[in-house]
Amino acid sequence: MHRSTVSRVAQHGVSALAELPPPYLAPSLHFSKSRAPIQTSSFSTTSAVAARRGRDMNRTRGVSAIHGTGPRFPLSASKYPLPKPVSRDQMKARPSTPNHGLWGFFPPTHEALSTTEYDAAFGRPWSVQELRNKSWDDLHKLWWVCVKERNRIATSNLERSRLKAGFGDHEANQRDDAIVVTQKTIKHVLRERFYAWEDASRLYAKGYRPQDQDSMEEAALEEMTPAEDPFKEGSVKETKL
Amino acid sequence: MVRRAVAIPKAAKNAFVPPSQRKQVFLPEFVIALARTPFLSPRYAQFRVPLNFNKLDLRDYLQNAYNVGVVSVRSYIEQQPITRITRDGRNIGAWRRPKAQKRMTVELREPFVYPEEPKDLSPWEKESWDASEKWQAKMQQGMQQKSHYAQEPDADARKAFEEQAKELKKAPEEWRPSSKALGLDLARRLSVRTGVKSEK
Repeated sequence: MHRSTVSRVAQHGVSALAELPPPYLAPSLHFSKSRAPIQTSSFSTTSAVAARRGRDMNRTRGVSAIHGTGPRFPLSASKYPLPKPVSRDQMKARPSTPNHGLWGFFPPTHEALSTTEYDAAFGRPWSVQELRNKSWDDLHKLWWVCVKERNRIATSNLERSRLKAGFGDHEANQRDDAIVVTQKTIKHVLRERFYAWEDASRLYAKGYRPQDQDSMEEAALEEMTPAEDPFKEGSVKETKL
Repeated sequence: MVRRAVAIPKAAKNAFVPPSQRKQVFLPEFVIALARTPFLSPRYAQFRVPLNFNKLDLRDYLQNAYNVGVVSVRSYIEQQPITRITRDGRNIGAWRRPKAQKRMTVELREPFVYPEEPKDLSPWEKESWDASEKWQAKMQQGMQQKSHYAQEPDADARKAFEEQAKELKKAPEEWRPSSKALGLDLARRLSVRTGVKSEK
């Protein structure tokens, strides 16, 4: 049956039906004589057996964080007032931490990135002759100084490119290159020492004992007359080319 | 220099080595950089690290080299977008994917605030750098649009001509040949050198 017909019947009573067109003209507007039995079902699909009877023992039933229901009973933290959010401008500045280890990634002025002048002011890399006199501990310390400085330069480079601050790339690269030269020099010196150790161990394996050799050399030197001393001045014959 | 290697004496087999000494790095060659992270709280710090770095490496490195206590480390690798190799200022080269970047975010024991950005960028000559960038971009654009370059009007030259014309209109000068305007009286020099006076 049409919905408008139903509403009209509800509003105006059965007399409204008299105003309707005859059923042979509009059969859909009239009740059918023989109504088919309508199949119905309830909205709930839960069977009556499964439904809960009475209260269960769950104390947090119905408490929802999403719907903001709040707890049903006061909690232990309820006596403290909730902190209120503060805008970023009104926030207190954090206490400075001048001794934090991460300052090692920044120049000694504790600025975000080093200036071009600071990067350009550097000396020369260490030379091989200088580093040959250094102990392993010294070389190791120097290596770590180089490592930290390279980290600092990389941090500055990152910040400069992010800020698009301007020039300074060339100076930083020059400084970095000088550090790399020092690092290579350290490795060169260590390689020399390793080769010396290799040679010494090979000699030792052959049966060479330096303490015996020294005594032999001393004995040989004692036997040697001054004229035969090859290291005396004037004994080296000049060869004319 | 090629040398025959000598075996380095090793520690005795089955000798106990403490876990902290099992991966000793004496001369590290990698470089790590601390990145600015305004979106993270001061409890966190982010580093750009080499791809072969792991979380334990970074924790030990920061603890031993910088004396920075680390609570936890998280890491991710950022894949880079595919780009073309630039050739002659034009992107006409082969397609390739740049090397990925690894970032590690550590949770610090002591909070650390990244220093503020410098407000005055004059130590890095920001203005002239910007100008040179602009000029370079313009030149590159000119190179790219080479086919239409001759057909299009030279806006800069037109503007220069216009300004010059305006100045001339403002203070009309008597026209002089450029030799006189620049103080080069070539005719007189010629007469001095050759001894022949030019006809007036």
